[in-house]
Amino acid sequence: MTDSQLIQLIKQGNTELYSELMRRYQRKILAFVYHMLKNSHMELIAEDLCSETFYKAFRSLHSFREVDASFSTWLYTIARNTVLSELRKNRAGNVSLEESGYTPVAPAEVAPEQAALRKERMNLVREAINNLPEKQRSALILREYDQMDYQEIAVILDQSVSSVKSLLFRARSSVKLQLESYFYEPEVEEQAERV
Amino acid sequence: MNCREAQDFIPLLWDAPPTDPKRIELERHIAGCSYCAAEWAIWQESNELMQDLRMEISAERAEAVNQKVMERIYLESPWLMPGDGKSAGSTTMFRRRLSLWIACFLAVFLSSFLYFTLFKTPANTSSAQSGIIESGVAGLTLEWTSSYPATESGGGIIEPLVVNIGPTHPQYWMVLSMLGVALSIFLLTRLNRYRRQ
Ligand SMILES: [Zn+2]
Repeated sequence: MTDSQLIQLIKQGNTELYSELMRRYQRKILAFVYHMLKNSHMELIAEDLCSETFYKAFRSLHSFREVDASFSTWLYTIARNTVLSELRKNRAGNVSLEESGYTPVAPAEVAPEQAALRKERMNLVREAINNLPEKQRSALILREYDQMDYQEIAVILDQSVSSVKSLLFRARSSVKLQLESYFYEPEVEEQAERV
Repeated sequence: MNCREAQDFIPLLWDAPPTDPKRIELERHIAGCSYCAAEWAIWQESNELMQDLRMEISAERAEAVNQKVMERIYLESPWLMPGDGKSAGSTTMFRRRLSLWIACFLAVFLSSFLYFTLFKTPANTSSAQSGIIESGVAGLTLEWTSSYPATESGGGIIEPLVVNIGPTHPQYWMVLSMLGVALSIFLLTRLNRYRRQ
């Protein structure tokens, strides 16, 4: 069954099918919300914001038109807006991912010192992504983690395709610049702190 | 393609499909230039690191969100629940409560009606009267006049007047209880219509 068939049935009163519709996107949307958040207690907030997103989507399902966007991009748009309004609320609490208790799993087969080096670089990249302006960060996350095409990203960010390209270009350049400093400058710690 | 062009093209062509002619040209340059190859390596590394930072969400975690949303939907709009299961309980309880209200209103109506018909007879008006006016007046120089009955007293102390004010309490009760019954029946039919939709 396609999304639009399912949505049609839900609109006709088969509310229980909304659970089925959510199941198609819940992991993606939750991951997207995770990636967008960089605040403390993010695990709690991410789940709350994700359910808030799906609840809002259900409430405005009647206003959803397939012609404007696919259901998936529509959901991402709602998720992004929900995260942004939450971030605006707690702009003060600006804690990085590492302090929130999240640690990415390093590949098991590499040697310990190499793993440490890799972890250091990973932190650099994460810092760089967190410090990107919101639109650049969103574009990068949608492209890299959700494998969206330019057109879809353009719809979600409400931008033209060419500005999405330039957002991605700038985002990638800043991430790479951050990493480059690690390759060329010996005082990495200082560099990271200054940025 | 020279080195400067190559440097500019790397971020632009990063996303381009491998068949893109510009990208093929760029890759050819990188293959023959160690400086640009190093640059390309940094790009690749930053991309790999970015992929490593990607978070995978477990299915259970996402399913918990799903349940939370469905619970919230049903909590805030109980009539959307599917026909069998919990929903029947909540609506029948609501209906039972409404019926109880109707019964109460009807009881009030009946008792007030009985009271009205049995006690409010012309012979027994005083029970349905209210509004006692104090009218004790001393002295003989009476300039005071009144439209009320029993003012023909020649002087001295006159008896307190009793004024008729209608409608009396039982009638109010009757009207109110009828309104209550009407409101409950209206709610019941609305509920039924909602359920059928
Ligand atoms: Zn070169």
